[in-house]
Amino acid sequence: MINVPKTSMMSAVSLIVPNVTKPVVKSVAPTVGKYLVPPAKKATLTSYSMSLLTGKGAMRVTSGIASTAQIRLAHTDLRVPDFSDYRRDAVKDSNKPTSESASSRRAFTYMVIGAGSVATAYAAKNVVTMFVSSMSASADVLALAKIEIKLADIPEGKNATFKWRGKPLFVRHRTAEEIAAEQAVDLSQLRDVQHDNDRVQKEEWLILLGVCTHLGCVPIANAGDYGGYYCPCHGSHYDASGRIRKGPAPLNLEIPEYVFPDEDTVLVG
Amino acid sequence: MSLSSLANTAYQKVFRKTSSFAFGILLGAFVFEIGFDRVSNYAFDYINRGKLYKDVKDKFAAGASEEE
Amino acid sequence: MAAIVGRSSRQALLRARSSISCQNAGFVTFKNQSTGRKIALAAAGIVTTGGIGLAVALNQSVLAGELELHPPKYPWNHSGYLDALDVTSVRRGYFVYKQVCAACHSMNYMYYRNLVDAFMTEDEAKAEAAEVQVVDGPDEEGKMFERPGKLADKFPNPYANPEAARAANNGALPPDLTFIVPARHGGEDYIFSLLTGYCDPPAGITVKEDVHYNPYFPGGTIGMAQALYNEIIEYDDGTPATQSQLAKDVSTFLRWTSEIEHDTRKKTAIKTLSILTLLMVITYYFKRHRWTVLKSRKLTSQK
Repeated sequence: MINVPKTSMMSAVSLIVPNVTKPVVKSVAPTVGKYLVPPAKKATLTSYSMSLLTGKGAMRVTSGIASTAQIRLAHTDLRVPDFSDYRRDAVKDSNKPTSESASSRRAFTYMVIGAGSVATAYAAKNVVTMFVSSMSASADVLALAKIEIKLADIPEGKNATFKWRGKPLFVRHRTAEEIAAEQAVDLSQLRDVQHDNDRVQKEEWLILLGVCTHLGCVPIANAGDYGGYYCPCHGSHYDASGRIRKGPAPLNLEIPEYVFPDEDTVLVG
Repeated sequence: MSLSSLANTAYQKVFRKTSSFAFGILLGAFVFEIGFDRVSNYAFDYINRGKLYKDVKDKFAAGASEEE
Repeated sequence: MAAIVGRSSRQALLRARSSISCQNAGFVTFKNQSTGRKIALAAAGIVTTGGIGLAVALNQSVLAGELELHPPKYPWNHSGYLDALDVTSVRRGYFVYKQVCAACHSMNYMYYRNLVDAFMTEDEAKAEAAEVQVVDGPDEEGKMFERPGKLADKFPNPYANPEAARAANNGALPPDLTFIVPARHGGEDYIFSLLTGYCDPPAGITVKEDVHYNPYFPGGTIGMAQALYNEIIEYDDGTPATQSQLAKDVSTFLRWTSEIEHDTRKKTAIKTLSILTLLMVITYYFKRHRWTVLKSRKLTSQK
């Protein structure tokens, strides 16, 4: 039974009826007042059967202190499902105020969401890294990007040519005279001013890209007016430091990056 | 209750502002990546101990030096 | 037959019995039947299905002409979801390949650089590469020349081209071995069984000249002669080089060549699976959190 407000002054609710809108299984027609409520089991498919459900006769509205103001339906026949599965343990006890645990519940949910975001960020970072790294040089390209040259194979005064990244690579074992001559060159005579010391790491080893800076021909070693390189295409003369001395080329021969891992080898690239 | 006060502090300091929450996630992701990678690599190495190259590398190197 | 059954059952369903109200007429249910009847029906179903299955199974007779052994499942120690390849075995297998298989079989997709830090040091791999002569060029005079191999070079090919390979092997082309394990049914099991499965042909089967009998090979006769015998090579780590050991090592090596990312893949699996499990749990929590409001309400509608 639900609480029915009753005052001594007036009876606001004088009539309590069971909820007729959803009859409990049995289709016994309950009588309310003088109207017959038809059994609900019958399907209301036609306008006739629907008309049976509506009230008949004239509608009357009565109001006043003594009259019935409203009808309260006692929902004793409605069963509310058990939702405790969806409730947190902290709020299951109906005698405790839920505000006590509000902050910890909220913090817990935020923490779980934060952890999920961290894991998602980790996964996303790895996926992005995977795709981005696929754009970098592949292993076979990297394997060819460096060339290791045994210096002992190159006698003094000789220029050896290697294929490196599709271009000719000159490794020149310079003689003492060549070194002395290149060291002594007056820098004011040079078109592309660079001292010999800036072009070699070890004086006896000159490492160059064998591409003429004019139009990209391959110069011939130990030829030309300056004893270094001579480009047969348009007659550019380079000295034994690979510097342009005469002819149309504007710049000195390019020096690639290289290191000497030990005395006997050079690693270019 | 220390746990609820801790949760409350975390909520007030980190979770409440979206900016600080996002910053916390970024920082957490950074730390998590290091830790998680380390733990999972360790797990893999532990499952496969004795089978990986780094476990048997020294054996090969020792064998090679004996031959020389 | 299905049509007849369908028609009669439909008629039965349509026949509304007067004693039952119309609402229940549309359902067929076993609920109301007696237990004995249910058991009888179930037994009849099982007997019928089993009988058909037995008849089908008996009909699939084994024909002697199609005798082909399927390799058994061997317990490879890398076959688990998180199990890495055994590097010592891969290394031994490499030497078996190099000294036995490589005489006829190419391995066109392997580079010497792949060996580095897989089961060899860089110096060892360089020494291995330097053992072979690689055609390079053209040089300054436009001629091709031979030089010792480098890490960037592929494994050498025993034959200049497939035609030369066929000509040297009685018309049979030795397949490239790089991806042979995933390319054959049974994978490592098949390779191992094939290498160790050579035997005399059973009675009734004549094997032509220049081919060999192997029950694991589809068709039974294979162009390749038995390649592995006990002590055919010597392992540098002192492992007894029995035939099965050689076959096991070379099978493991061929698994590695077909999947040089094998170990990385399984390591990634650990990370991926644990991250996704975590995310799944959290997603479930968040879903419940968000849906609580909708799930824990009851709506009733009035007529």
